[in-house]
Amino acid sequence: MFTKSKAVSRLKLHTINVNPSGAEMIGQIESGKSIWQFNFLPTRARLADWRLVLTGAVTITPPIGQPKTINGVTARLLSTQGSTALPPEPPVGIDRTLIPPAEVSVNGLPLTEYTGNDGSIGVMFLKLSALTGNVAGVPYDLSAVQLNARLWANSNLERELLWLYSALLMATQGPQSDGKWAEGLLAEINKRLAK
Amino acid sequence: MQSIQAAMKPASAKKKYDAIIIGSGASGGMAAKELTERGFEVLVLEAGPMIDPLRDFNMNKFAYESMYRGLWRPGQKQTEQWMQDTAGEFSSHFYVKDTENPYTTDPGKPFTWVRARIVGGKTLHWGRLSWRFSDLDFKAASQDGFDVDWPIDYKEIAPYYDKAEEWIGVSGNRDGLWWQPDGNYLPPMALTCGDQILKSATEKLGWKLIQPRVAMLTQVKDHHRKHGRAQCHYCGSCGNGCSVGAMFNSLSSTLPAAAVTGKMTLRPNSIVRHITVDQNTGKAKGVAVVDRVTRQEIEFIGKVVIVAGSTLESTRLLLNSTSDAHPKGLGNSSGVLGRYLVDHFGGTGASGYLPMLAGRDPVNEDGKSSGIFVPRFRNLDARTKHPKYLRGYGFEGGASIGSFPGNARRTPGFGKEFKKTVRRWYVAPVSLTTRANMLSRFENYVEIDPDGVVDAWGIPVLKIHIQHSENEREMGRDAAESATEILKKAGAVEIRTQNVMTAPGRIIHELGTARMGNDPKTSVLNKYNQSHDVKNVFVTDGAAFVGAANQNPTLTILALTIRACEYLTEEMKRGNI
Ligand SMILES: Cc1cc2nc3c(=O)[nH]c(=O)nc-3n(C[C@H](O)[C@H](O)[C@H](O)COP(=O)(O)OP(=O)(O)OC[C@H]3O[C@@H](n4cnc5c(N)ncnc54)[C@H](O)[C@@H]3O)c2cc1C
Ligand code: SF4
Repeated sequence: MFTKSKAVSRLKLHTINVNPSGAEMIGQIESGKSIWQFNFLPTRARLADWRLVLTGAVTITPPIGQPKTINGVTARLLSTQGSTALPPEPPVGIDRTLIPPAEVSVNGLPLTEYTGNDGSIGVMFLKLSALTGNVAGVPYDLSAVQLNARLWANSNLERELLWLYSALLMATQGPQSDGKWAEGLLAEINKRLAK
Repeated sequence: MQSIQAAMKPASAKKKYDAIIIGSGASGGMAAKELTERGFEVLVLEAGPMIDPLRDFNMNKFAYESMYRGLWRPGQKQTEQWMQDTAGEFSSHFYVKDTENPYTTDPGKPFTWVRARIVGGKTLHWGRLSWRFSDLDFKAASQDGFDVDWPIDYKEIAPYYDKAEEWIGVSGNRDGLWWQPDGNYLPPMALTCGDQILKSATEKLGWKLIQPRVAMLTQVKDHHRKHGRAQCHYCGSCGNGCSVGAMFNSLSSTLPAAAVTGKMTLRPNSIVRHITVDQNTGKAKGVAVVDRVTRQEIEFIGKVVIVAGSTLESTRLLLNSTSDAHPKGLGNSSGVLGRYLVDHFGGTGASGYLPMLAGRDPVNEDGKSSGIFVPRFRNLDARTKHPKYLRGYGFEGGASIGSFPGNARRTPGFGKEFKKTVRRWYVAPVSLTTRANMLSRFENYVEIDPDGVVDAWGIPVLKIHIQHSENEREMGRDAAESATEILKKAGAVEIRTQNVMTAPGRIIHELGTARMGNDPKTSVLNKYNQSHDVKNVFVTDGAAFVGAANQNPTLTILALTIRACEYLTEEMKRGNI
């Protein structure tokens, strides 16, 4: 979706919605009846100022013609939307110290659904580094695109990454943030992105 | 509908409208009716599209007519409308797409924000329950010392409840409960056989069970007929859109009334980005709009701006309307804008089966679609005081047969025996679910996302910070226990006590964040929904609420809107605006 940018003559694209396909995030850019496929394949995760930063390749496939791949694109986590669905199980074989305890009811008082460690991320909002020049003929200004990465998981790898990204969020921005926990989770994420 | 089509004439960027109304839902629709009937020339700006009732209202659709049997294309809900909890395959077009309308939350503290962006707003598919608040609610702080009272009392608002009920048409009984005040009702619907069993059990415990008061026409009056509204035929599909106008929605009721005055211009697909301000006076000048379809940026001007975009959209709009005169958001000199967010909570309760109804012949019991209501019975007075928490809750629910045998999911086995068991118990379900008062707390709030997240049109989104406190948890536990007690008393079997509270937002009664009050230092609006800081801005929706009570809020929103419009008219006449 877009609005007219004041600085350049092209319309500014504000957001691209992506869904997971393995470790990759895939979506579309539309203009009239034309559709460009958008893929972001992160290959490395790190923290900068306690925020997740994914680095990888963006590939844009035009309706007609050759796809264009841009390497070294970063996607920095801005914020998240909490999910209202049960989180997946922790990845099998993961170090037990990385798994936070499930929420327990105190004195028989009810818990709130999908809250605390019983929650997970619904959407990660990531800022893409600027994509400039002619990007596979996309008719928009792509200098400040926000990726709305909906983490709806359907495969094992997607479920594992959803769990790991969610735990990393708690480790970096949750009430009990913890550097060692975050480092361990990052290592697990990187193992999966490198595959 | 024809009259509304006629109101969709081109809006003029040059004209100074008497009032610009943002939103066409419950509050915006009522404001349009009230102001046009008082002679105002109004421009109604609605972010969503216009609807075609013949195409878009699906009350006559059955699951078998869809390839997906009413369950959506696999994955569709989870990738497009995952937060639109109550949206179904036949009603999804009434709801926003979460892909275009994001918001953010704190880690581990989700909020379900259900929204409509369409002419008519959430009234196109709302649950229609229409309760009055009482002084138990308006003056709660005086009784238990928590937070502050509303700046109004029941006596002041009662005449406006009368007007709202008369116009929209509410069916129900006069039950004579002082804390659940009566109005003037259309004939009530009947309780089902199972509801009667539940009623006698509840009364044995010393509590009440009443027929819900619902905005559905069980009888048609002249002013309903005039706008083409017909009597309810109990098809039970209100959530998919009522094409005969029997349930109240703005599209069949308030907007046509505004349109026939010839004084309303309705502009769909108009997303208001922010309210513009006259730098000299600090007053609102008009609004900046982006057209949802053409992306054109337009400004409209008006003498008054009525903000009725629904609780959180209205507050987002005010927070996004910063200027030199209003650096923290329009009308936010108090710093309270965005604070005191509440929702009711549910989830806790109990369900089971009534064995005396098992194996009976199926009958159509879900047509009336209103169930039962157990009004609040805790903390009404010294005798009913609960030692562990303040305020109270009611129960919705009932004992009626639905079209889908939900019990099949919980029935073990397969084959002939399985089908026999499902059939036997399908006709006997019973359940009670809580509708509870969440306390208004300063620390539950919304702000413009500090990390710069935007929506599909580049408009900054809300970050929502909210969680339940011990008071809600204690109330939730008590509600689960009381519901179980009622079911036991009713002789229910296979009772399952539900002891998990819904995530905030899930009951779709988000309220507060631009609260009214007498003190401009601690509130955003005065008692007439008028901004303390900017006299020509009124916020008429649920954002104005001081507390949530435990009753559904829309009737109170409608009554407050009528009252605000009356006050605005008088103030205009007096030259104060
Ligand atoms: C499934 C369901 C069941 C419910 N059941 C009940 C019930 O039984 N009883 C009860 O009391 N309440 C119920 N509610 C809640 C009820 O629908 C709301 O309280 C009521 O609709 C609020 O009215 P409103 O005018 O504030 O908002 P809405 O009806 O949501 O209307 C707001 C309108 O403003 C528009 N808008 C928002 N932002 C902008 C903008 N920036 N520019 C232009 N337009 C904008 C929106 O598009 C929308 O059309 C239910 C809701 C749902 C979804
Ligand atoms: S039950 Fe009544 S109000 Fe509901 S959709 Fe059917 S006719 Fe309309």
